[in-house]
Order: sequence, then structure tokens, then C-alpha cells
Amino acid sequence: MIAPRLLSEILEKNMKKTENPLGLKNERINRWWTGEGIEKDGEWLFFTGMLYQLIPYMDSATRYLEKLETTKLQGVLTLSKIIPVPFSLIDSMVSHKMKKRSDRILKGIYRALMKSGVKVFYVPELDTYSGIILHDMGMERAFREHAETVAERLNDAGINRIVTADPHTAYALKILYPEYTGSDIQVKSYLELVRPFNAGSDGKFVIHDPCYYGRYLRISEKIRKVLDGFGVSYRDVKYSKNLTNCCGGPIESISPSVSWKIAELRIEELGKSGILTFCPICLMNLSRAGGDVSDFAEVIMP
Amino acid sequence: MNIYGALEQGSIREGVLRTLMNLRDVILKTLNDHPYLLEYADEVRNAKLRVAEDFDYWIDRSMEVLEKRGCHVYLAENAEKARRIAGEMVGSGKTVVKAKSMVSEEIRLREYLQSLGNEVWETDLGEFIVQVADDRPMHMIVPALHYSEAQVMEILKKVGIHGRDAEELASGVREFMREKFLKADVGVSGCNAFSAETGRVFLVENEGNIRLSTSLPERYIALVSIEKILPDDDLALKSVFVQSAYVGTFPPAYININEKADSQEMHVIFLDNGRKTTEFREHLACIKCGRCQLECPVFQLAGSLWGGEVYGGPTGMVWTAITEEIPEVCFLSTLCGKCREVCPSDIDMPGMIRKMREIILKAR
Ligand code: SF4
Repeated sequence: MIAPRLLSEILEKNMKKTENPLGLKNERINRWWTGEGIEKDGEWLFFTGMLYQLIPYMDSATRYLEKLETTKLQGVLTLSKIIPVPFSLIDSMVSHKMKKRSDRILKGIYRALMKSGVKVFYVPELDTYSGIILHDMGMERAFREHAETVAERLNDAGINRIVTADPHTAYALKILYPEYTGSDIQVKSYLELVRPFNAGSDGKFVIHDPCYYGRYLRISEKIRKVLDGFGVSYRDVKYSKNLTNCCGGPIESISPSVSWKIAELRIEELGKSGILTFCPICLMNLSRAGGDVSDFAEVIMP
Repeated sequence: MNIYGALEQGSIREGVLRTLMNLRDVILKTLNDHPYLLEYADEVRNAKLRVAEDFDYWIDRSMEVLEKRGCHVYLAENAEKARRIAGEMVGSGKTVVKAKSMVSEEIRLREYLQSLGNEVWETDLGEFIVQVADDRPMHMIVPALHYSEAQVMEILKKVGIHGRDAEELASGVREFMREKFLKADVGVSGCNAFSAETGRVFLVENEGNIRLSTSLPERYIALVSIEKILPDDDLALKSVFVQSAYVGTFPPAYININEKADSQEMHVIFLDNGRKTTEFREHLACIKCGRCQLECPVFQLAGSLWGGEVYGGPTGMVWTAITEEIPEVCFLSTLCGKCREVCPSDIDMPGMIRKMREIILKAR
């Protein structure tokens, strides 16, 4: 286990610097929309929460942390003030393919919303990480501060409806922000807004419900309806919907090795091929454990 | 062994998954066939939280009822006091038969009584195996789930019990135990639910060993942690029904309702040990069915080794925080929320684990 204090210090510093946990400038990682002809005004603000964009970097960071996890070195690092994760190095290790894939998924979600007749728009300057990892780590003050900053920015921009791309951001904005900041912006996942169109998807899938959709937001049934509407052929495993099993992703930074073993457990149940999911963290972690995983947006890509 | 050792070993994982596989459909079917159990679960949760709001009142009331019925009653603030009280009652040179009880693990009762020069035997089959192996219970209800039949065979040889399969081994243990029961001076049990109305101690089981442990010896000690107190018999009975349903053994083979018998000296020790003042009060609605343990991904890999000294898994994170200190390994939870989803008392363990993290980080 990476020492929690060490991790929390890294997170706090990075969040202060760049508003995301890896300390990477949003402008640099958020490129999916270039050349996409995005609307600048509309009814629903598309808010990605940067999670898809961060995934390629998290993947490299996790591989690095895995080496650190069981070494005695950590103790020394905790005492010193050196940040042990060389982010510049991580940047150079990031797979170009993964970056492209994340961008493609976000394009897919955005286009699917457009095609569904949702008046969606995108303002890159308003889009930022939700801060959910601070909440999960028990860094209450840091989370509250970050949430307040983001909520205020959205309010100042006159935003009253948001559509999200992933379950973690959806939960943060829909459930936590109202509680922590008093924000009353209406928040929906894109899965609640898309209308079926002819996507010509083929293949047979096994569904992996993200915990946040299955339990925290309880929209698994809704997701099944969307899949049926799109004519996607799928099957459910025993542990699905509200009883879905975790992919292990949420602890990938504190314990890459346990996280990975949890993903393996899940893969044992799902099988390796044709896994369909709706969350960048599940996508990354189940892939890392050897699964052939597709994101829903890739399947219906307009 | 720590959690990393457990990951490598694999037998814990096999055992937990095997047990889950055996029980999960039974539990779901039970709840489907007996939907009133869900209402019971709700009633029990609410009653427990009501009692927890005013422990002093309910403890007084319970002690009064027991005294009127001729029992000896004690209130122990912490583990050490509880151990000492039990030690005084048992003395030394005695044979003690024990029913399985997580609270007795919490106060290290067996080890303590042994250190006073007593012969102490766990009478639950799984717990007996754990005792002989000098191990710790890996799950609240199925303590020896991490052993294969072959391993059990080896372990039991240490006390001269031989057998070619599970059945033979079980009958070997029964025979071994029979002699202990007959010569036992003192019987010890925990408590699944306690009725403040009548002073009755409710215990469910499937083996029949609790009945023998608590009725044969002339002196009987019941260890009651204060969150087991319920206002009346009705709720206590509902509580044990819910527990057995969520363990996958409904209807239970035996429900013991113990009270003072003429031929027996009965001692009841109420244990606080952090419960009265805990900030994790919601967790006092836990009925220790162990279902959240089996369903938790981290527990599936590491069993109770993911936890404190005694309690492990999601429920164990909170029990450890209540009775020992907040375990730093709480940072390994994925907060996936499965524990709360399957918990009969709908306890927000993920929320409490977040709170623990907050406390740990603040303390530095
Ligand atoms: S927390 Fe809930 S599921 Fe877990 S042992 Fe307690 S009552 Fe059972």
C-alpha cells in the first residue's frame, strides 16, 4: 500500500496546481474536441470531468506506483518532501494509442448526444476534474474547496444543466456537489439522454456495470433499455446491476497490486472477451487484467 | 501474515469464493420465499439504533431484570475488565467449553483463561479447527473457510483426531468434544440477541454445540456486547431470524433461548469496549451475519487479514475502529458499495470508511 499521507500530499499539490490529480494541465490533456465543430451554446453543457482524458496517464502512473508499492523506499519518501512520482516521465510513457482512444470515446458520446437531438454544447474552459478522488480519500476540506471553485465557475457561466460522460463525475456533480456546495444544477449521465439511432453495432457483449451506475446512481435498468434500443446484443452475469462486482479501479493508486487482483477476480466472472462497460476506470482496469473491453460509446460511435 | 501474503497464498480466496457460491443463492431464495424477513431486518435495525441512543437506560434495565431472575451481572467498560471478570469466575484448573463468539475473540478470552491454567475448548467445529491450528477466524460465521479438507485432516491430527473425509472428521470431533462437555466446569457463550424485557439470551446455531456448552456445565457465562440489547423478546427473535437468513441457514436448526435455570449459576457480562462513545454508531446495527465479508472484493482476496487484530472485511473495518483503533488498511477499500447493498441493516460502511480516512489523514 502506498502510504496514504504521501498520496494525499501528492494529490493536494497537484490539484492546487492544475485542478487534476496528476498535475497535468487541462489544456494539454483535453484535446478531444478540436476539429469536432462543437457548439458553444445550448441546453446541456457537456462536462467530461477529465476522467477519460486522464486514463492514459493514470495507466502509466499506476505502472510506476506498482513498483513503489512494496518497497521500503516509501517510508523514506514519506519523510522527505520529494514527490516520488516523476510526472514528466509518466507523460513520456503514455501510450499514444490510449490517448487517441479516450478522445474517440468522448467524441462518440458528444456525437451520440447531438444525434439524439439533445441541444448539447461544450466549453473547454469550464470542463475540469470533479475532485472525486479527494472525496474518496477522505480529504474533505480539499474536496469541498475544489467543488466550490468548480460550482462557482459553472454558476457564473449561467449553467443550469449538465450532461456527464462517466459515472464518477456524474455522482460527484449530481449527489456530492449539491451537498457540499448547495449547487442546484440539473445533472444527467449521457446514458439518460441518448435516444437510439441506427448505429449498426455488431458483436455480442457481456456487461460490466460500473459500481457508481449500478449502486450509487442506480441506472442499470435504464442502461439496459438504451442497449435494447440500440439493438446491442448482450448478456448479464450473475453479479450485475445493483450487485455488480468492482473492477478494482478506485484503489489503483493506493495499491496497484490489490487493484489488479480485484480486476482479475472480475474477469474470471465476465470472461475475457466482449466486455462492455461505461466507465473509463473500469475500461482501464479490466483491460489491464487482460480483458478485451469496449466502451459503450465505441460500440455506437456515430 | 499480512494482506500481501494472503494475496499470494490463494487458499483464502478459494475458501471465500467457495463459501459465497454455496450460500448466495440460498440467501436470495430465503429472502424471496420469506419477504417478511426484510421487514424484520428493518425493525431490528431501527430498534438497535434506538437502544444505542440511550445505552445507559437499556443497560440498567437489562441488569435489573437479570438480577431479579437470580443472575450475576457485570458491566465491563473494556476488554481487559471483561477478561478479568470472566477469569475470576472461572478460576484455574477448570475445563471450559466455549461456543463460538466474535466478542470473546475481541477480548481474547480463550487465551486469557488458558493463561490462568484452564483447559478451554472451542466447541463450534470451524472454530475448533482454528483453535487447534492456532490461527484466527477468517470469517465471522465460517471461521475455517480458508482450509481445504486435506488441511483440516492435517490440523486435527495434532489432537489425535483422524478421518478420511469431512464426515469422519466431524464425527471424530464430536467424540472428542463429548468427553469435554461431560467434564466441563464452565460453559461460555456470546449472544446473538438479548431481550431487555426478559433477560433472555438468544443464540442461533446449526450444530447443537451451543446448547450443550451452555446447558451442561454448572456455571454458565454469557458475554453480551451492549449492541446486542433489544427492547423485547419479539425483536430479539426477529434479530436471530434475520441473522440466520443472511448467513444462509434459515430456518436455523437450533434457537437457544437461555435464561437462568435452577440447576445452574448464570453470569452475564455486558461489554462496552468503545461502543457507547463511538462516532460510528450506525454500525451498532450490525448483526454480524458476515454477508458483507463474503461479497467484498478485498475480503475475497485477503479474508479477515484485511482488518484489525480480530475483525476483518468491510464490517470488520468499522468494528476494529470501534473496539481497537481505526485500521490504516481502510484505504484499501474500493468503496464499491457492495457491502451496504447486501447488508440486512443497510449500514453505510463506505461512508464510514471515508470518515475513517479523514480522521487518519487529519491526525498527521
Ligand atoms: S455489516 Fe451488515 S452485512 Fe456486514 S456483518 Fe454486519 S449486518 Fe451483516
